[in-house]
Order: sequence, then C-alpha cells, then structure tokens
Amino acid sequence: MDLLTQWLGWLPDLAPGLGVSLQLTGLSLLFGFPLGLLFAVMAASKLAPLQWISFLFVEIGRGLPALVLLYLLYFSLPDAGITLTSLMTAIIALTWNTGAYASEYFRAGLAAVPLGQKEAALTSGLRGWSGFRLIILPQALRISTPPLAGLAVLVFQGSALAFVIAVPELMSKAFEIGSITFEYLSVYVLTAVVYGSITLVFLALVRVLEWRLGRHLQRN
Amino acid sequence: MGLSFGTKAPPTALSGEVVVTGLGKSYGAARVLSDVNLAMNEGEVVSIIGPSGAGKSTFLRCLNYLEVPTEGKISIGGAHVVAGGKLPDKASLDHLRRVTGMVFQSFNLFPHLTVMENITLPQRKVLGSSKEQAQAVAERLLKRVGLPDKAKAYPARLSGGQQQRIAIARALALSPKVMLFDEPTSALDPEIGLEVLAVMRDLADEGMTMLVVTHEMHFARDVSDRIMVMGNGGVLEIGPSEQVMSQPQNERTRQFLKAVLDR
Amino acid sequence: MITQLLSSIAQGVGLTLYVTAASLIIGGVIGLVLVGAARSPIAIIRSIATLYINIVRVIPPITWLFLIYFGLPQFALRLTTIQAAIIGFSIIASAFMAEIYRSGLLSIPDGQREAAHALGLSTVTTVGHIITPQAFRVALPAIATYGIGLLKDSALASTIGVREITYYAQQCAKQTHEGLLSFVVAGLLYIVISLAVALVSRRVDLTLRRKIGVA
Repeated sequence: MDLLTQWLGWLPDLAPGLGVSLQLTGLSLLFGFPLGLLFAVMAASKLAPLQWISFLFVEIGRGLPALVLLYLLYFSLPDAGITLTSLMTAIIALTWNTGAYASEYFRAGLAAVPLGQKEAALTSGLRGWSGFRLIILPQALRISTPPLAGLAVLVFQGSALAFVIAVPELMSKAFEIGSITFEYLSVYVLTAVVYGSITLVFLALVRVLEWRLGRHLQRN
Repeated sequence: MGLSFGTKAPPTALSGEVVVTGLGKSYGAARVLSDVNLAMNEGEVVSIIGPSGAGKSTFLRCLNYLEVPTEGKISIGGAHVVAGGKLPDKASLDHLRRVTGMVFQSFNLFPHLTVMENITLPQRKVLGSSKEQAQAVAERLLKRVGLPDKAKAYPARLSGGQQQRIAIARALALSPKVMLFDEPTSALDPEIGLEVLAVMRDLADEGMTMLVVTHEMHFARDVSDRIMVMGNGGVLEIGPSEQVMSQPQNERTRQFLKAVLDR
Repeated sequence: MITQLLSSIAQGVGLTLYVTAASLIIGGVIGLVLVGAARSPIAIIRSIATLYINIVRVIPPITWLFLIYFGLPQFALRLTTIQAAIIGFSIIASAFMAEIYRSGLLSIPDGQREAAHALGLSTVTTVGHIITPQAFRVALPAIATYGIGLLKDSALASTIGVREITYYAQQCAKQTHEGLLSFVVAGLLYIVISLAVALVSRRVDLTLRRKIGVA
C-alpha cells in the first residue's frame, strides 16, 4: 500500500476538520485573551467582589482539566435551558480555559512594569485610566506577549478535545476515516503530522514575534 | 636583583615547584594570553596584579586547566603538561589537579552540602579516605581557619568571609603542593576580606607555595615574596615585592600602581 | 444525591492517580536519559534526542493516546486501555521532564562545576554528588507543577475507556442526568488532589530550602 497515495486520498476529508479546529482555536483566542486581561485587571482592583469573581473564574478555568470543563458545560447547559451547538460549547469552554491561563500572564506582565513607570505616569499628569492605557498597558503587553503566544499553541492542541463532544474537527474526521478503513495507525500518524506541522508554523511565528518585540532592547 | 623573569628569558634553567614556560591562549584570532613565563620555588608566594582584562585570572585558571591554554608548558609539583589547545590525558590532568588547590572569587562552596561534607566529600572521592580520616582532617582544618564550630552549618548560613575560609580549608584538605587564589577577597567587604587575608598570611608563613591574583596591594607588598604585573595578556614585569611597588621598571606598571594607590 | 455521586465518581481516583504517577515516574526516567542524550558529545545522539522532544511536544496528547490505543494493535500489539494510557502519557511526560531537568541544570552556576574540577572530582562524582542534587532541588517545584498538569491531562484517558474520575463522571452524567453536579464533583476531586500535591511539594521545597539556608 502506497502510504503517500493513501494520505493524499484522505487529506480532502481531513481538511474541513482542520478548518473547524482552526476556527475553534481562533475564536477561543479572540474571546479568551480579552477575558484574561479583564480577569487580570479585576484581580488588581480594589473592590473585593471583583477580586473574588476573578479568582473563582480563573481557578476553575485553570484548576479543572479542560476536558472536565468541556463536559461540564456540555452536560449542564441544556439542563439550564441553554441549547448550543457542540462547536459553541467547545468555544465557550476553551475561551474560559484560555482566559484563565492568559490572566496569569497578564498579571505577571502588569506586575513586571516597574513602579517608577507608574510614578512617572502620575507625575506626567496621566492619572487613572489614561495612565494605565497609555503607559502601563503597552509595557505589560510587551512582557506578556511571548507567553501568550506560547499559550496560543497550547490552545490549538487543546482544540482536539472538542472531538469528545462531536465537534467535527480534525480528530473527529480522523476517527471517522479510521472507523471506515480500520487504518487507525496510518490515519492518526497523518493527523499527528498535520497537528505537528501547524504547531511548528505557529512556533516559528512566535519566535519571529519574540525577536521583533525584543528589538527595542537590543543595542543595534 | 637578578630575579626579573621578563617575557624574554625563558626560565628553563630554573627548577622549583612551579615552572610555566611560554604559556599562551587564543580564542580563534583573539589572543588573551601570550608567552607567560613563571618559575616559583617551593614555599614562595607570588602575587599577580594588573588592570582588569590583563589576563590574570585566565593565566591562573590555565594552570589547573579550568581554561585550556593553546601553547606552552606547565610543570607543577611533579605534574607536567604540554599545552595543545585541548585537555591533556586523564592521568596528567588528574595529577595537575591533585597538586593544585584553588580558591575562587565566588567561593563556590557546594550549597547542598554542610561545611563538613564540603570538606570531606573531595577527600573521600579523590583520595579514597575513610569517613573518619576525612572528618579528622576537616576538623583540624576548620580549627586552622578559625571556624571549628561551623562543621554542621550549610554554606548559605555563613558570611562571605566565613565561606571563603571554608573554601580554603576544602582545598587544603587534599594536601595540594600549590594553592591558587583567584581574587579571593574581591567579592567581600574590605573589613571581611581581612579575615580571609589573615588566613592566607598564616598559610604563607607555614611555607605553602601560593599564587595569588589580587587587588589587595598591601597583601601583595607585605605577604608575597614577588609580584608579577600583567597587562594585555602578557607579563609587564616581575620582581621582589618591595622593588615592584617602590621602583617599578615598566611604564605601564607605574601608571597602574599610581591609579590604584591614589584611590 | 451528591454523596451518591461522590461515592460513584471517587471510584476513579485510584486509576487517575495510578496513571498519573506511573507516567510521571516512567516519563521522568526517560526524561533523564533524554537530557543525558541531549548533552552527549556525539552529534547524532544529540539530534535524535532533540528531535524526539520536539516531535512529542507538537502533537496533542489526545492524538498520542488514539495513535497508541487504536493504531498499535495493527501491529498485533494488543494493549489494555490502562497500558495505552500509561505509554502515551509516559512519552509525553518524558519530553516535558527533559525540559524541566534541562532548565534545572542550567540554573547551576558554572562555579560549581569548576570547583568540582579544581578539586579533581571525577565526572561521575561531579554529576552524581554535586550537580544532580542541586538541579533536582531547583527543579522540584517545576516537577510538581508538571505533575499537576499531567493529573489534569490524565482525564483524557477516559476517552479510550480508562475508568478514572472523568470516566465515572461521564457515566453518572448520562445515567442520572445530573450533568452539572457530576462534573462539579469530578472537578472538585481534581482540585483537591492538585492542592494536596501542591501543598506537599511546597512543604518539601521549603524544608529543603530551610535546611540548606537559601531563601
């Protein structure tokens, strides 16, 4: 059996699955990162209830296995009268998960901005929100970006979990092909290759990003 | 005053504990040491001084092959090595490291071992001493460096000066023939450095052969027999301590001493 | 209701712990070999180790599990679900543990190696008595954090039928229609175990630090 011919034959079936995986990843990041920033800012707030809400959501999002979070939403939302597609459910679960991890990186980034910068912002007349937005946040984001980019790679790998609630993503498509052809080994190796290559592309982009962000710190 | 081994006269005719001939080191095209010669008699103390970047530490670290010299010959306490840009055979390397003891600027005690273990582990692994033998040696040396009550302490609990005295004891425990000191007081506050210098002075009085890279001009003048001045990876001059300090022959030595002593 | 759910789902705790611990230990040993190989003087061995670590890390854990559980029987290699899960997670853990060891090794100052050389200690003694104990202490918090990560990843074993916490939670959710409660209970079990691991590791770390007197 010519492996390459076999794989080429399967690719058209896998491609839509990869599309769904990427869509799931993209949307989870799109919603998850701002959510993470919100959690981080809430955690830094002086209002205790905000701190508590942030703490609760972050600890659940990080403390639970992503799979359990996914099942939790999948099995309980319908009982609460909320009917969503599996894809929507997966996006919510992955967004929560992403937001929880991202908030830690945002917090670390905010904490890493030297106190002198906050004082400089204040003494330059930039108080409150404008000081935060114009002086603190840009520096914090620069520090948080490399770990967030690393997180994005993990979210892509995590998107494979959506398979368990029948989201038609890459793993599901692979499973379908496997059950029809019984060529499980071959189809999962191909799937691994697809995940691996996309991840490598992501990682390469992350490296370029790190290099660009580090440029202002280099001497020439 | 014939004791001036400049860069021109190779001291092959001299015998003694330490004979270094034509030692050089390059990283690719960059030359960090060139043609360093030094002959020391048993029991002699030589201080190496000079501006930073002169190659003092590199030279010292070449002597026990922490840095690999690219040319020259090293002969210390019966260990002979011809440099060739790579590590010598295992027997020669082991021998060289057996006869030299080294004290570092940053102490480099093993932080996960107690003071006692720091001193006994090398004895047991290198000399094959029994636990009791090693402990007896350690206790004697701890007394000698003035820290008999610190055997059970971990290094991080000790002051820098205490750590450095332990490091000296650890090196002495292997009965080296020559002690190499790489700026032993540079990481210490001046008054703390004095307690380390006192131990070194005792060691010199007891007849240990010592080679000391230092910024302590008082130590260099008062304790060492000779001073070697280095600059730009080479020897500027070497001579009796008094003479080098009071009547330096080399113009760059004069500039260096003026800069240091005026401070 | 909740006590009933708890007693059903808690049946899975044993296998969750078993799969996690076995994979962490096996992966930890393979990781040691990997980190040794990655520092080998022989270039081919170095590249193989690096390649292995990279390949393992760019493939999602669930893909590894399926590859092993469904794929390997094609070679007449019949595995139980538990064996497949432990093999899969051991492979994954080995790559991450190798990275953890590596950064532990990097954190040891050069002066430690130099002092050992200057004293004439052999390579074996230097690695065994000087470098490894220090690297292990430095790596301990990271190992514990990774162990907790692996504990959460082990939930994936339910997808190939290992009867661990998530598996039982799923069964309960289907049978009792208490979806929310079932997974809240499962989640709590994971959090309790994680907290216990974190507490123990922090205690051990603190004790070791206090013992040798570093902050």
